[in-house]
Amino acid sequence: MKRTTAHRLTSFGVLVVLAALWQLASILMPYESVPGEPMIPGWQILVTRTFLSLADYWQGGLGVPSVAQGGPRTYAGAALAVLSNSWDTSLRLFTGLTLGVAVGLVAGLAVSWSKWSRRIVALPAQIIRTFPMLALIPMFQLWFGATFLGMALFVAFAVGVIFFTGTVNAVGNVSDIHVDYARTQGASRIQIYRSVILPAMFPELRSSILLSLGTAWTAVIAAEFLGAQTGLGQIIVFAQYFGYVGRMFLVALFLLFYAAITYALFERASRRLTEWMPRELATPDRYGAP
Amino acid sequence: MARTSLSVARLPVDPLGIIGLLALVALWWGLSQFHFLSRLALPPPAGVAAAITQNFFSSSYLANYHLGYGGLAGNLAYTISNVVVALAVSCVVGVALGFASARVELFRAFADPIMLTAGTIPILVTAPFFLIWFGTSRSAQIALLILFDVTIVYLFAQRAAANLDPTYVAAGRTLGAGPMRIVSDVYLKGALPEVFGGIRIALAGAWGLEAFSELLGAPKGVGRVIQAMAAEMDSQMVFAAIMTLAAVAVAFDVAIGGAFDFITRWRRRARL
Repeated sequence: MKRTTAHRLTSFGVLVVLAALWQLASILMPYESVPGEPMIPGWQILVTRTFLSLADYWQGGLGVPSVAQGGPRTYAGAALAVLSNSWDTSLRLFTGLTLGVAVGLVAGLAVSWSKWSRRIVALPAQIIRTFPMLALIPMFQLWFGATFLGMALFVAFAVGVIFFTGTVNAVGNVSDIHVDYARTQGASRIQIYRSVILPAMFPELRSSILLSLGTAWTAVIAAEFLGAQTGLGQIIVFAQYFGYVGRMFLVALFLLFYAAITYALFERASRRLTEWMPRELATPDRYGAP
Repeated sequence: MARTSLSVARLPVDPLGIIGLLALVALWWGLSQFHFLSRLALPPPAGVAAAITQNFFSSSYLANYHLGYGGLAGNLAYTISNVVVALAVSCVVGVALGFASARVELFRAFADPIMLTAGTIPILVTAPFFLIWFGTSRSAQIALLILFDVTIVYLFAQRAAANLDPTYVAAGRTLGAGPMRIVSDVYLKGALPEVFGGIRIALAGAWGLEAFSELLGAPKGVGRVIQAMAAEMDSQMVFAAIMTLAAVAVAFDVAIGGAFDFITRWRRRARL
């Protein structure tokens, strides 16, 4: 058996063991957070009763009435609730992520145009990056309310700061040899940016992108925790008010699944963009996604 | 020209960076002074500075909101102590597990899926669980921070130990070092610079996370101040709390960076 296959099988085995331990804990500790709601719900409860209870978050439509309108809890309603709230969260996440990446990248490239501007922004950027970003969410709510715009802009701000500093650093670290070589070939500054700096900075920018993905997920959930009317973060925080640990756990699993998918998709896409590099250098530097 | 560049490089802070920082404050002042944004949306820097000085060491205003009589400093002390305790625990646990996983393949196979799962999940999702299990006590916030910090320190320690040139271990063994000496004198020292990088990243993220977990529920702390003041629409005090926390975060980052540089002063630095 190949070593990587054995490693994957062991990893899978560990996850199965963790799931089994959760089940064991649910049997050994049959406490309740509120009457009728187990503190550690077993899998048989999670995939049946708990999943069904997510139908409470379906607003109605598509032939499935909402529970608030007097409709029964159905699996179809629960599935639609998960899908619609996942859609809302994803829309906020990817709108903010796209905006943050675009603004951070363009601003970073613009500042990197001259060594002087790079030096002027280095210190403020370093300080802003150290700012406790999550503590700023009440300000965004004050400015924009608990709206889609406010939440998306909060994600964009969190991502933009990382991307801006990441871009400035990455451009600064592009080897002079590459730039000088292009210059001796008569390339203009714009051509150098397009043909040398952008491709050469991407490997270093991968860390910033991975960090941005983690930050974006955290930011969107933080925003939804404080006042959103829809979204997966809002389900968790409402479930917490009423002590529904099972709902919280199930939604957390959905979020874990979505976050893992976004990481995996990025890995696959970025691997293609760095095919020209020696493999060791192209290995992603994944850390620090809060 | 070369002499000027050299003397600028020797300064602890780039003067142009200071100009950039002043320009940022001037922009903030201009936006609030000329009413591009309302005072509620963006309080002026002078007002925020006044709010900090008036409420720093004691504040009957904050006491009205059950935030203690210690003012911003008392709440900062709560936040700082949580962050420092969590980081200290995480350093011990994360480094030990990271080193062990780098050297023992079987242990790595078990630890990696757990740590990568913890690293993949948006950490805030776990906050409500800790609130239910531990209540709004200090332990809920510390547990959240430990989970976040341990994951980062573990990954950095693992990578640092794995990247360590085996020649050092071989040289240590040749010189008669036992397993404990190898760990303390080779692995620990050799991996320190990279592990320190991870600790700084963990610390930088921990401030915001702590503040947010306090926002969700805590007896005191800067996050609680932000929450109470935001509910009162007192943006000046919200800014004051955020600015003091940011100042603490920057000061800790600079202090820890300096301390790490001193501890690893034996390191050969790149001459650029």
